[in-house]
Amino acid sequence: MNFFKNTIIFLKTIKTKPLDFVIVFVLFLASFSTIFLFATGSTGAKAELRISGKVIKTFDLKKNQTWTYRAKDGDYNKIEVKNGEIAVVEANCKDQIDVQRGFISKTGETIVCLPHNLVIEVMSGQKDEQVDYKV
Amino acid sequence: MNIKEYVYVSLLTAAAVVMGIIESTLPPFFAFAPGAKVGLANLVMIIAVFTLKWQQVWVMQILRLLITALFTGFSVLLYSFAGGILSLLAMYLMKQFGPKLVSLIGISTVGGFFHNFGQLAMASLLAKTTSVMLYLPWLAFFGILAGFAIGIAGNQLISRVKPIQELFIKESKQWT
Repeated sequence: MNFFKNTIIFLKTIKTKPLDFVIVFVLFLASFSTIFLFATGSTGAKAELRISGKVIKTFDLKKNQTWTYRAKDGDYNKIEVKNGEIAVVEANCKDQIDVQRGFISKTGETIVCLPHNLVIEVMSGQKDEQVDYKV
Repeated sequence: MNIKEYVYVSLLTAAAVVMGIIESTLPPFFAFAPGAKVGLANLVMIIAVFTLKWQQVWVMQILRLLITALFTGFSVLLYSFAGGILSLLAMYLMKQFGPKLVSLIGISTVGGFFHNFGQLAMASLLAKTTSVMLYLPWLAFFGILAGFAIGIAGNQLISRVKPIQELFIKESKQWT
């Protein structure tokens, strides 16, 4: 209890007023609203298909389309873009993990098909993806 | 404006610029919160808010931002402008509540909060991504702490430095 008393005495000596704390507290709480507003992650605009790290094709997520990747040895992955989302809908790999992954749309999300060395990554679609945060 | 006021505004501007340069050379205090700073220049701003007329405060703030940019580089000018203008605007609105409801420390704290908010808003505007805003609560916490400390320091300066005290009594008597 002494601690609270001392704190209040201290706050009075430095001449703070109750409304100060109300406003600062409200602002601080309001700053957390950004988490609910933006935490879902931004939706990507395009997706890159890479085989062994090399970019083979870039998909525009705004256009609905289906495209099949075929390798020389008969491996194939059927890729579908629908309503801004991308998925592998059919593939002849053993584990079928890429098909089970389903549709993805947020930047940074990936679909990986290890047997075919295939990676699909959703990108924001802007050139400068890195934010140089120096203030 | 008489010559005395010109000199005072220039002195404050110079002090704020020097504080800004000193601060930009310091290593970051908190490795876990990049971008969090004490905001020494805001100490001068809070003194200015209470000892100058509002037009003079605005002139001083813009001069300070431009001159500091000459030394630290123009790449961060947009960020510091967004932070500086928004924080001064917030301090102005906060001061309208009057001495019965708010205090110098409260005004300084609100200024510290909006300084961070302005910079982050500009960052997310320039990078065209809203994910930067997720950093706001963390940075706002340090901004509030810094603003609080700056407010206490400002109170001390006003009560101990005689020329500042005289101008404070002249310009904002009801806040004593």
